[in-house]
Amino acid sequence: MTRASSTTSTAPHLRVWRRQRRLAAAIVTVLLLLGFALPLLVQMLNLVKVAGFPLGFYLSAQGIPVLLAAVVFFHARRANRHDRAPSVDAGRES
Amino acid sequence: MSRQQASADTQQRHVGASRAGGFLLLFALGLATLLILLALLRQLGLPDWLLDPLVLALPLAATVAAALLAPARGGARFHLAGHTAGGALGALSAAAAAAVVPSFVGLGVSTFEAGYDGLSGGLGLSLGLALFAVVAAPLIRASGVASFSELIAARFGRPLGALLSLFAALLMLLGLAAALSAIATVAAEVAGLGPAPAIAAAALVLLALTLPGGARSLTAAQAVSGVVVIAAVLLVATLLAWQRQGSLLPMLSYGDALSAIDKLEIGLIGRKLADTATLKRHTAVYITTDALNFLGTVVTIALGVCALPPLATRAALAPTPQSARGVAAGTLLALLPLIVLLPAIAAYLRLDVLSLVAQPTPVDKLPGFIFDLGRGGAVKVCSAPAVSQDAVTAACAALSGHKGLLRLQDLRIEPELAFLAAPAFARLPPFIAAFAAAGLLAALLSFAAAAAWSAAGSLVGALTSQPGAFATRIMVVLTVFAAATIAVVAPAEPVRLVPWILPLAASALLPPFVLAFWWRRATASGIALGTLLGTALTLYYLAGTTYFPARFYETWPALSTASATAVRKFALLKTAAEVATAGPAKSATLAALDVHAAGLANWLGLRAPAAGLLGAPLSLLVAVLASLLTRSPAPAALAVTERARSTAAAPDAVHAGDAGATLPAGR
Repeated sequence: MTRASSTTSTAPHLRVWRRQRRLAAAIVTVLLLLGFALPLLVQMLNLVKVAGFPLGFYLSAQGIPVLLAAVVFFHARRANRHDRAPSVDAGRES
Repeated sequence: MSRQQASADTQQRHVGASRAGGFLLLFALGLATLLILLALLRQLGLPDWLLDPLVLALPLAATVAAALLAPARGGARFHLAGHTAGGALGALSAAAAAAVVPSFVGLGVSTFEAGYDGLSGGLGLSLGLALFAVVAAPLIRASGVASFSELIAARFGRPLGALLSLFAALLMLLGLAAALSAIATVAAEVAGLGPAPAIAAAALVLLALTLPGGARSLTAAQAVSGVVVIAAVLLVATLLAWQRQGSLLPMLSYGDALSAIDKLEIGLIGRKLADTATLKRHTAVYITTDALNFLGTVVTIALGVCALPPLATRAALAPTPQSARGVAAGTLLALLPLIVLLPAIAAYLRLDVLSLVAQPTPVDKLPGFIFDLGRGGAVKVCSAPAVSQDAVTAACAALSGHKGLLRLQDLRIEPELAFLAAPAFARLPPFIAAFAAAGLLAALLSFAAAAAWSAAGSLVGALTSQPGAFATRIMVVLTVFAAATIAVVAPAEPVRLVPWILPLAASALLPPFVLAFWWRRATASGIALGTLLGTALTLYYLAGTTYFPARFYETWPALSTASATAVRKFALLKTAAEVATAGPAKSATLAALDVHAAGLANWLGLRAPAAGLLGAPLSLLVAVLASLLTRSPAPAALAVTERARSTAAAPDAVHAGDAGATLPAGR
């Protein structure tokens, strides 16, 4: 395989990898903010009550885990869409 | 393999996973129908002595049957289950093993006992699974490796791979022994079994779950267990909410229970039925811990869970990298009912306990269910096992100043059995508690089986680069036997050391695991040095504060958060120990010194479950710095990284890496 043909065949994958890396970095930032930063505000949030729940307690017990799951599913959907992109690109190039 | 063949094979795997998902749905419906039928039969006169064992045994029998019926295959299929563990099958099987974290850490040790402060278990687990889904799962599948051991060996060389595999195996062995001890505790409560028979029976079940069809058997058994665990938690939480509030949505309605708990706690203090010194307000923040330890525990659990070898193995069994991503996300989704509802169950149990004390209840007229629970070891009253009314009355009478009314501090529910106690305190029919026990045992067995499989795989991976089914089977038998022996001979020790698993996993396994994929510049020498220093620091802190607290405190007095009073008491106890003559008197004073020092021996108040805060960052930092100072890795060492990156982006190319077909020589 020549160097040129190798570059042509791997370039779409490299592009996808870079996109995946950027997406993962953004998602990990969001996950860390949800998992670490939000619980830090618990004492302030507990001053608010929602349906009997102190808000800080409610978020730590239910809100944050549900939000984390939602973010992970969002990531899975976006990442899978990125994965499909190179085949399309490669098809067009060939 | 041609592109068409690869595509057809992938399609076939997805069909297999989808069919398994259909079976699991049928099993869930069958389980629900069976429970309704048995409840109806109870109304028609079926006695509890017949019904309860049926409800306990049938789900567990289904788990074993699923493992035995999974087709046995040799070679790569034995270890990789033909890459059919995608979708609901993969998610539920991983969730069943991980359920042990919220079941015990979440409800038991923390949420029931510590209220808000205990929620760090569920938060850490959710975050760990989320991070695993994003940064690791698809890359593991895309790399073509079958396990953590294989990945580290391929990327950083066999010596480091073997060393870390042995360490991972030790952690899993510890987890397995602790799970067997916990199974013995539950078996004593629900069946009155002694520890040795219970552990022997559990060990046989573990062999049945893993040996016949390897990863396929394990996956099938864990997926069935996952359905049982989720069903048990859903049923108990829903019935508690229905009984207390007429609601079928406990996650939304237990806020009122929290408000009632607040009012009752204040009322009991006013009536001197609760002690302000020992009362832990359920919704109050940072009563049993502080912000540093709460977040430290979340960080440690998250990083430790993300690095646990059984999760890596689970991702390797998925049909494609995309499916591995879905399985990891699905694992978190499958665990959400547990993470969300176990604190609700803990709140309802707390409310029932407070209501019992507030009635008020004379200690010589306790309800009968207290003794049913007490005989299995789940409940103590006035520090005595609640085995009979006479025993409790005598124990409370022996306490100075006890006026004969049950006080909150008199009643102690063993944290690991709190889930089983909740239906009894709510006066639900006994078969509900039996089903809860089935769920708890299913979670424990599922985790134990995953730990045994992973420990055996790591050991085989450390010894050989071509693991065969026979070698793995032998190692599973040896691992289970070793853990069962530990659990019988020294049952308290593995339970005591359980909090060490996640901090050590976060320090030793996470940096090589993550850097293997995400940083091409990471070198074997850098990783070895980082892992060594990070793990040594964590181990030093854990061992020092647990086994040598007095010496640890004397070495680091400036970093301790001990109060001036505690420091003065330490000095007095130390002087007493020094002047005591050799013999029993000296041993007693030294023991008293160590007990007191346990509260002083710390760095900035950091506790064992949060110790990952020390080792994990150090390990990562040293690994990065040392990697930059050493020569870049050779292209052969980067093959697994490149394959993971390029294959993850090209779903059909995954077959190139299957079963390690293209791994470099000497992996």
